[in-house]
Amino acid sequence: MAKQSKRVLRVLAMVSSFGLAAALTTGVVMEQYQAPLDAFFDTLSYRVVSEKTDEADWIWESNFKSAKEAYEGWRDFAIKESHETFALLKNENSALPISKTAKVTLLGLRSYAPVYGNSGGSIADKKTVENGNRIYEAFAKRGFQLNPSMLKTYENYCNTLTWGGKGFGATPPEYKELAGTDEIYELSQQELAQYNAEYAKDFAEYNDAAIVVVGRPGGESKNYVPGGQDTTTGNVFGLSTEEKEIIAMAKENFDKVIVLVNSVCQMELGEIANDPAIDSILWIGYPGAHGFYGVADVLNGTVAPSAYLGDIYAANTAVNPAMMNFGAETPWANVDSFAKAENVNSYLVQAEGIYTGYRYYETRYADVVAGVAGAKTAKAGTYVNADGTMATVDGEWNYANEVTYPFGYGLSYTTFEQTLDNVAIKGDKKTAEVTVTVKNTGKVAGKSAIQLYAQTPYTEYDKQNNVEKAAIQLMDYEKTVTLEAGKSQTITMNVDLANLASYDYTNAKTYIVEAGDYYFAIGANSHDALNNILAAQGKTTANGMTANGDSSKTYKWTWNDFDAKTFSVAETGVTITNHLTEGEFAMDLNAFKADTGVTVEYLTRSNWNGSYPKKYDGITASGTLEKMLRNDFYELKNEDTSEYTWGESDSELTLNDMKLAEFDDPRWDEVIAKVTVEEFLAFAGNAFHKIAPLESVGYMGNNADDGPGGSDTHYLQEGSYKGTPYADAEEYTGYGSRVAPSPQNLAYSFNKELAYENGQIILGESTLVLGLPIMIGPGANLHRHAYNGRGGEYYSEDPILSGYTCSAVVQGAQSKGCLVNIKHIGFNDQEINRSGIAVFMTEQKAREMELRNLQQAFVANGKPASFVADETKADTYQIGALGVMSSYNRHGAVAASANKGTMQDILRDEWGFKGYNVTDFTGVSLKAAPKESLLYGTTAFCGFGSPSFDYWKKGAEGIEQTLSKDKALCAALKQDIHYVLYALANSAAINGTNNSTHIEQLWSTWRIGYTAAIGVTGLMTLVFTVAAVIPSKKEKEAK
Amino acid sequence: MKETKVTAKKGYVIALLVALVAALVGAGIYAYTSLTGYLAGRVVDWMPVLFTAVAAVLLLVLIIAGQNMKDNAVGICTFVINVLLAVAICLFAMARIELAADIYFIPVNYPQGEATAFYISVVGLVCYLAAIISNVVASAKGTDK
Repeated sequence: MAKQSKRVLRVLAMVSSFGLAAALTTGVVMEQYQAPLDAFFDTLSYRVVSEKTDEADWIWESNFKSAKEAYEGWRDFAIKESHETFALLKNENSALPISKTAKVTLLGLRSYAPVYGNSGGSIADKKTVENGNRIYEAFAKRGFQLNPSMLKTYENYCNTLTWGGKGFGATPPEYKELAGTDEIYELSQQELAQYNAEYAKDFAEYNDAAIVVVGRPGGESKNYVPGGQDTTTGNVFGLSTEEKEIIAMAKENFDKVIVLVNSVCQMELGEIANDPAIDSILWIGYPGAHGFYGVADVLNGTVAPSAYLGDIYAANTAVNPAMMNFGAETPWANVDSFAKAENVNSYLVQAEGIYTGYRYYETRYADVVAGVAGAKTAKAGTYVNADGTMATVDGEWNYANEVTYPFGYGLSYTTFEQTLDNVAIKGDKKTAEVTVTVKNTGKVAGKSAIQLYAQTPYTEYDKQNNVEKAAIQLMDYEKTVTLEAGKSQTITMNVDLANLASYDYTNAKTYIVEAGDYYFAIGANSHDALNNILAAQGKTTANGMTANGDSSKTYKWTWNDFDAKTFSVAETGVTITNHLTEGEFAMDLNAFKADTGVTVEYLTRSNWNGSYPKKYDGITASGTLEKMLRNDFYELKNEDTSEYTWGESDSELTLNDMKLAEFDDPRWDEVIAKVTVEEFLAFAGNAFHKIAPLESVGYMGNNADDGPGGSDTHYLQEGSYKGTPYADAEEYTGYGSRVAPSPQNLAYSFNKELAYENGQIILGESTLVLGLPIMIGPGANLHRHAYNGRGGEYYSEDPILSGYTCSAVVQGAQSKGCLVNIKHIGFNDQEINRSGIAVFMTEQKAREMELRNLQQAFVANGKPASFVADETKADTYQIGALGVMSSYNRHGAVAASANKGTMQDILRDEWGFKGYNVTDFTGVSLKAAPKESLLYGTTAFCGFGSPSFDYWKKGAEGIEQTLSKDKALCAALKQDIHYVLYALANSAAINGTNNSTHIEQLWSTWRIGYTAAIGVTGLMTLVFTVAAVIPSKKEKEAK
Repeated sequence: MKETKVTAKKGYVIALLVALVAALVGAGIYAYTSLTGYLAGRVVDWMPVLFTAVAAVLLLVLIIAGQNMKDNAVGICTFVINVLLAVAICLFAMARIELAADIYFIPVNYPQGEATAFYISVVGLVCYLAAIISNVVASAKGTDK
C-alpha cells in the first residue's frame, strides 16, 4: 500500500514537473512574442512611463484627445480623401450624377461583396465595415433607395460563404471564397434565380439606374497570371461570361447603366468603354472601410470626380514587352544545386528597359506617327487585334487597338480649360518655372489636375549608346482647389529638371542631357499631351495621330550642347556613375555573360519589332553569379580593431539628450561609443513589430507596425494622448486607423496636399495615438504591369506620380514624428517568388524608373506649389525619409539589403540617406546575407531573432572573434548604430521621454496565465517530489 | 478483476517500449526537419537529441533490468527520464516556434517548405508527448515485485 501511494506520488511529481517545464517554455516564448500576443488578445503588457513629465518633453502632439475624436477624425479624413480618388472614365449623356434619392438596382456580386481594400497587408478595417458601413448601408445612408430583391438574392448567396478572409495582421472584410486570384467571381442569371427566383421583380420600380460592380481582389502575396480564363482575351482582368451576362441584363432592363470598377489591378475595359449602352464607368479602386460614402457622394454629385488613372489601361493586359519576362516561369536551370537556406529560386530579366506602361504605348505611337521603321510592323504575339485579343499572325501595331484609357485619364462633371501661361528654364538647367491657369468652363464646381509632361530628343548618340528615351514622361503635377463654375486658379510649378536627364550606362556612365529640342506640354492625359507635342512638330491625323493636338499647350526649347556634367554630381557632392552595370553587384545580367553564356538584348525604340523582348529562360548560374546568389560572399578578416572602442561608460549622454539632434552633431560619437557590438546585434536581430532596446543609451525599445494603410494590429483600446490613456478607449475597442482608400487610390487623386494629409492622419496619428513610432509604410514600388496583386499597396507605374505621392505621405507622417519605413527598396514588381527572385535590368531602367521614384522621398522632393507659396509651410520638406525597408527580391544576384550598389553607393552616398534601414521579414538568416547587409548600411533585420550564425553569437567563440575583428565591419557597425540612433532621435521614439523614462511591465492576462501555471506546477512538483522521496511514518516504523 | 503480476509486468514493459520508440521517433523527426527541407543549412542545436539519447539509454536499462532493480532506483530513473524528455520536447518546441509564428502571424508570407517543416515537427512533438505519457504510465504500473 505504501509502495502504491509512493508510486502515485511519483507519478504526480512527474506530471507536475512536465507541467512546470511546459509552463516555463510557454513563458519564455510568450515574452518573445509579446507584441503579437498583445495584438491577438487585445492586451497591454508594457507601457513606457516617465516619473516626471514636462510639456517640453512632448515634441509632437496628436490632433485627437479622445478615442471618439480619433475614430471620427480617421473616418472623416477617409471619406474626404475618397472623394478625390475615383476616376470617371465615361459619362455619356450626363448620366452621372444621379439624384441623391435615386431608386437604383445594384447588380453584380461585387455590388454586395465588394473589395473594400487590400487583403494580406493594409487591410481595410473589418470591424468598421461590419458596423454599418457596408456598400449597401453607406449607399442607403446617403439617400439611395436600393432594390431589395437584388440585395436579398446576393445576401442569400453570401450567407453560404465564410465572412472574414486570410490576411496579415488583421482579418480582411471579405468572403473567404471570393478572395482568390485564379477565378472570376460572379453569378449568372440562372444562379441568381437559384438564390431568389424573384430576383428581377423590382427592376421596374428601382430603375433610375443599374449600378453594376465588377472587381478583382488584391493584396500582399496575391499573384495573378495571364490566360486561362473565360474572357475575350483569356485574361483574368477581362470580363467573364457571367459578368457580361449581368451587364447585358442591366442594359436590357435599365435605361441608365453605370459600371463601377472595383479593382486596383488594371482591368480590360474595352468592351464596356466602346459599348454605347453603358452610360458611365467610374473607377473606384479599393475605397476603404468608409469609402462607399465617398462613392455615393460622387455618384450623386455632392462632389465632382477628380481622379486620374495613374496606370495605363491597355486593351490586353498580357500583351506588352514587360509580360515577356514575368512570373515563376524562369527558375535557374541549376536551382537544385543551391541549399534551401540560400533562398535561390528564379530570376526576372526586365528586357523591356524603360518601356513599361504608358512609356511603351505612347513612345511606340509617337514613332508610328513619325514613320519610324519597325514601329508599326509587329510580330504575332506582340500586338493586339481590334477586339483586344492577342494577334496570332504578323501585322501592324495600332495604338487605338492597344489602349483603352491612357495614363492620366479622368473626366469630371464639369469642364476645364488649361493654358500654359509661361515657362522659364533656369540657366543652370536644373529647374524650370512653369505657370498654368486652370479655368472651370462648366456649370458645377470641381477640381482639376495640371499634368505637366516633357519630351526629350532621341538622338543618334542614344541609338549608338543604348540610351532609350520615352516620347512623353510626366514631370510634375498640381491640383487646383475646388473651382466654382467660371472661376480660375493660376499655379506656378518649380519643376526639377534632373528628372529630364537620361542615364547613359554605356559611354558617359552618368546622367546626360543632349543637344536638341525639348518640349513641355500640358494635356488632359499623357496621350493628349503627346498629341499636343506632335502637333507642335507639325503632325496631324494625316500622319496617323488619333486626334489633332493643340500646339498652344506646348513649350519648346533647345539645348545646344551634349552635357554629361550638370546631372553627374548628386546634391551630396558624390559623383554619380555606374554602380549597377558592371561587377558583382550589377543588375544588368550582361555583366555576367561569362557565367551564363547569355546576352540580353534590350528593347530599343530604334527597332521596336526587331528588339521586342524574348523570354529568357533556362539560364544556369555559375562563377561569380553563383557565388553572389549564395549570399555569403564577404570573408571576415582577423585584424587589429583596437581603434574601435565599444561599451564606453564614461559618458552620461543618452538618446534623450539627443532629441532632434542633427546627424553631424559631435555628441553622437560619445553616445555611439556606449553601445557594444553584442548589444547592437541583439537590437538589430529583433526588429519585427517590437523594436528591441539599446539600454546603454537609454533607449527602451518601441512598438512598430505595418503598414501603408494604417496600423495593422493596434486599435483604439490602446489609444492615448501624451501618455495618458484615452478615458473612452474601451468604447472604441477594435476600431483603428486602417480606414482610408488604398494607397493607389490616393495616388490617382494627383493631389500632393491630400497625400501629405494622408501621411499626417493615417500614418502620423497612428504613431501618436497608438504609440507606434515606427510605421512600416508607405508602400512605393512601381507597377511594372497589371499582374502584381499587391499593386494597390503601391501607387502607380510612373516614377514622378509615385515618387511625389510617396514624398508627400512621408513628409506628412514625419511632421507627426512617425519614423516611416518606406517599402521597399526596391523593384518588387511581382509577388511570385518575391523572396529570393533575382531581378535584372539595365542601370538606365533601374535609375530612371524605380530609383528615381524612391529618390523623391529620400531627398524631400515634390513640395506642393501651395506649400512653396505658404510661409507657414516653410519648415516642410526639409528632411527626407528617415527609414526604409529593403525588398525580399534580390537586386541582381544579391540579397537587396546586401547590394552595395543600391544600398551604399546610391541610397547612402548619392542620396545622403542617414536613417534606419531594415530588411523585410528575413530574420538574421542567409536570405538577408547578414554580415554583408551590415557592411552596406542595413541597421536591422525584421524577424523574431534566433540568428543561426556563429559570427552573430555572443561571447568568445562568436562576435568577439568574428565581427569585432574585422575593421570594415567595425566601421560599418559604428555607422549603422549612428544611423539608428539618429533616426530614433528624430522621431516619436523620444516623444514624451526624459531621463526618468522607463518601461513598466504590466500584468496582462496571458502573463498572469503562464506565471500562475509556473507557480502552481512548481509548487506541485516540489510537494510531490518531496513526498515521494521522504519516507512516510509507517515506512520509518517498518524499518 | 485485479491485474495479475504477469500482466502488470507486461504492461510495464510495453509502456516503456512505447516510450522508447516514441522518443526515438520524436528525436528522429527533430533531426530530419533540422537537416533537410526548409531548415537545412542552419546551425542545429543537438541538445534535444542528446537528452533523448540519455533518456533512451535509461529506458533500455529499465526494460532489461527494471524488474531486478530496487523500487527507489526505478523511481529515480523514470523521474529522470521524465525530466530529460520534458526538456527535449521544450527545446524542440522552442526551436520550431519561429515556424509557427511565421505561419500564424504572417500568413501571407511563408513558403510551402516552411509549412511542411512545421507540420512534420508537430508530429515529432506529439511523439515526444506520447513518450512522456507512456513513461508516466509505466511509472504508475511499476515493477510490482
